[in-house]
Amino acid sequence: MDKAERYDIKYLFEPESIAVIGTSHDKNKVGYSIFNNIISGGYKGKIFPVNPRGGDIDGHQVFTDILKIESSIDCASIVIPANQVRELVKNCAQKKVKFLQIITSGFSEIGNIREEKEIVEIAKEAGMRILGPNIFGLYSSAVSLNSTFSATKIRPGHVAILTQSGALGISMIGKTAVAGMGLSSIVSIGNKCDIDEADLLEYFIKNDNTKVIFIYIEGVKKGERLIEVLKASTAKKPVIAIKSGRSKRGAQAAASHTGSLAGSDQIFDAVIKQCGVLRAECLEDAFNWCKFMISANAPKSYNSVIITNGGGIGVMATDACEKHGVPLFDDQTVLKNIYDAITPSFGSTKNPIDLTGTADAADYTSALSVTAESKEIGSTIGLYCETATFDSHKLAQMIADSHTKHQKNGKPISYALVGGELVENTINSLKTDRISVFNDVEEAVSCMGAYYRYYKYLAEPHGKFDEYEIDTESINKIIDDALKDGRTSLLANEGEAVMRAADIAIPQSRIARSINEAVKFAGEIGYPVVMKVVSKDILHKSDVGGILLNLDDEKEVVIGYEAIIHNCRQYRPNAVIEGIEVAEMLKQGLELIVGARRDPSFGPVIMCGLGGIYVEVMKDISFRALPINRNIALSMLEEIRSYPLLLGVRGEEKKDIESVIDTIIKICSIIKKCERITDIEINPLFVYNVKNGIKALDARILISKPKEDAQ
Amino acid sequence: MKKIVVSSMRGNAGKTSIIAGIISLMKDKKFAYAKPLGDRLIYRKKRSWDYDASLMVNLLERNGELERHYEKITLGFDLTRLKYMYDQEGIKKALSEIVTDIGGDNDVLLMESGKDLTSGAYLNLDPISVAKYINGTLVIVVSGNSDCVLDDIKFIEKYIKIKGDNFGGIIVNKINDIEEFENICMPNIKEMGIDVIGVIPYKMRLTYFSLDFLAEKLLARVLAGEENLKKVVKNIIIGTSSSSATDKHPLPTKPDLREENQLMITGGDRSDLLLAALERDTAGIILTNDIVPHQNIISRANERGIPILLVGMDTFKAAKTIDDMDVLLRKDDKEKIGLLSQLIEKHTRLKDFLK
Repeated sequence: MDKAERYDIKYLFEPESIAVIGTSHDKNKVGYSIFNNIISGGYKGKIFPVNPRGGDIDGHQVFTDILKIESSIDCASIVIPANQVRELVKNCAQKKVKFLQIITSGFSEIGNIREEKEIVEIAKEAGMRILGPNIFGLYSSAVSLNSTFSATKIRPGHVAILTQSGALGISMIGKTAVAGMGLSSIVSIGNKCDIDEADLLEYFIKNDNTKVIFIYIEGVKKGERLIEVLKASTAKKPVIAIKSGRSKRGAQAAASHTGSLAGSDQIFDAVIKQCGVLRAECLEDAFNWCKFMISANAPKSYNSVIITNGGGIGVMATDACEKHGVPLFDDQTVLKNIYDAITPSFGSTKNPIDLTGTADAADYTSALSVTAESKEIGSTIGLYCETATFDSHKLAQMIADSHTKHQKNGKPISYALVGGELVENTINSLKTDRISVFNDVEEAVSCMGAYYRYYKYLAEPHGKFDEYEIDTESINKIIDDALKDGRTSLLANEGEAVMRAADIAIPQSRIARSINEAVKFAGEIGYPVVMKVVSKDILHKSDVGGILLNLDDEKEVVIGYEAIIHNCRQYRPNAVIEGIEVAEMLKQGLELIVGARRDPSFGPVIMCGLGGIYVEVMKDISFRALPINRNIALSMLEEIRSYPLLLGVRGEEKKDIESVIDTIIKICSIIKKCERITDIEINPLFVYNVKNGIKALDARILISKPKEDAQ
Repeated sequence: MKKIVVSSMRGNAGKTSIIAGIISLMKDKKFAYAKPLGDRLIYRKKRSWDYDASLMVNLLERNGELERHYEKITLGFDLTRLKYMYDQEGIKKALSEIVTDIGGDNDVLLMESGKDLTSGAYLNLDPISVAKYINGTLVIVVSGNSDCVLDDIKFIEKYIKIKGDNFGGIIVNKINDIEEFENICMPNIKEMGIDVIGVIPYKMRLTYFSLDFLAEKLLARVLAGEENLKKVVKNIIIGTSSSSATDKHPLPTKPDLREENQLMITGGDRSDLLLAALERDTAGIILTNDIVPHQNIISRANERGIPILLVGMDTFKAAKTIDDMDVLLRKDDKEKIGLLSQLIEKHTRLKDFLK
């Protein structure tokens, strides 16, 4: 194979042959467990144990060297000491093995980066791919392959789990069994020296057994590619993610744990949301969502009805629906028509439908049946409080029947049952099926929220991205000049020139080098004006009296010019003053911030939010990865707490949101097209009423040398 | 009306202090004041004021009468602005308007020059030209050591040649040893034929400054003791050695933490020095390099009412800035102004001169 080509990832999950290098005769060793799990797991392909001692294990001939195996080998699982791995990888390359699962640890996770890199280079030369090192192996239901070293019996199913943590992955195998959830695959990526999340997701997208993907992730290395693959994944099936390292302390632990840096959580959160990934806070939520999503079809209508026999639990569910974004059906006439006949007079046909404490199994069956069959209702949340009138022995059957009815009608349903031992036993008995039944309202509603979030994302238009034409030539010239000057940040006037090159409205301004020029420029711009010193030697301009605002006439400009020069000379007698900037004095607008930066994990990301001097205190901002379109830009604004200010509050007019969106897209275009810009930020961006546009007051731009120059 | 132009051979000779002393001393006279060429600009409410002019307007307490003419009291500071606003004729006209509008029916118009004798010469705003334009009397303040004073006076006699009606004489200021000066220098000055209006001794008290003045000059952030910013600094100590070392070796050349009204300059991380300073007669503390000290130190400073000022510059730069700083008179420096009027009365003939 040409080294530029790569083997299809399918050979990793569906190999026709597998060698276990380091198969041990000792049944207590990992080398034996892996071999035994493959055999006992029912793998139908060829299996070759390899150990220099030879002999046989459980009736299988043990090869002393991989090179002595005559058949071709799709995949090799390596379980030998770290210091022998490099030589062994050379042999695998010679044998033209397609994929390696390196179980062995002792590489980059403990600082042994050099050896890990060497192994990757050897594999690359041969077109061979590596999973790991430092992994527990993988399970693939497609060929009944269990090459992990722990779990002996894995239930096949439809959830694919991809985990960066080995120990957590192993424990999740057991947990899925308890939750009554089967797996299509589970794979740990360890140090991800070669194969990463994106490679594995590509298999899960195509794999028909996989209906839901769950990722546990600690750090992201190649974020831009991951974004692409996540988008492709969520277009086909739901992806649920847990990312640890949310807290600063957690991020440090993650970094030392895997040798991979945890990215900024806020950016990660925004980016995966943008990809349609559902982020869970805890394993419990993640597993509940996975189970719910396996059997849930796309909603026929975006609303839900709560059926309950208790008012309190109904209100709790209503609150949870608001929290999790579950839209409740609220056409009172329709609700009355559907439920009036089956609801006692002292109950309620308003959503939640309160069957009251007198409801028995038959009443529930009727209510849930009409809900399942109603064309107007999209989904159901069934709530039950243990009562004397309802024989809890009948609960399981009622739930199973109503679930089947909902399935037949293509509608999702989740249940929350509150009660004693009988109720808890019912919940446990139902867990073996695909029914989402919980002992808490929050969990039942949270599943429904995740379901709606995913399908709402799918319903949104994707794929079209917006961009503006910008004068990159001018911007590059400004950057060249700044770099020649030894600077990695642009001066205020250079920042303004970049804004002009992107057609972002800024206050009119000119640089005056004499009082005569200042007066002339102020006249041209129109009073009132602002004057500020232009000098790279004076950073805190306002502190030293280098900025004067609201100058109303020629006399004030003349006095102001003299005062600025005088103040700056006083502060730093040797400062090089390039001139005094005379600029338009803007009327106050709503202050926003729009910025973009190159994230080390995800590449260019865009940010917007409430601006001004308290931006870091308020932290009312939202992020997205590039590219974006106008709809995404609008969703960023809608996400911030201050969005109502843009819509106009307390009698104020609505603000020019379209111009803000234009600015966001223009900033995206700048950071995308000008690779040497690492950070760009407008703060404040004054936003005026509709059709009155925006004005960028201050633009801060950081630049870096191109990589080849920087080295 | 007498028109007196007060100038000096060098900057920071004491012109403003002498004028303040005169105004304070002669309450029976009506004074007017102007400083056509400013040199200490303060920008407030879109106006630029000369610091000295602002002080005099406050001292003269004319219920806004002088403030109304603020544009005439000081015509400008920098040549660029003055050139933009005035030609030669314009300058003459502006000076004559000072005499008529500000001088008016006052007994004496005191017109302070720019920084020194040459300032403003390019636009004929130097004190000699001004004295000629307004037909006023020039008084020159000289200060420094004896050699410097003698050199300056000789220079006046040899080159400036302003004897006659327009030259009123000199005031010798900040002399350390009056007796020695009278005995050694005065005979030489008399030989030169220069009239000496007075010889004023140097007074340490006039060089003291308050902490709020310091905070303003250093752009400092006040961390504690805000209510005591009017405290006066008499000694400065740089916190380098440990506090125990300075206690054990109080040699004259070493900083002594026991001096009164001292200002300590050190970094916020020097807790030992800070705690020692907070237990003594410390007027205030300047913390350098923007290092904020432990909260306990700030609390203790608040308890003791000792102001702590935080600055971004390093300890050397802070000390140098303070050392280079002109200690400017303030309107509420009543003690200093009182002392100045006593010195003027006792050591000059200005009362007679202004009759």
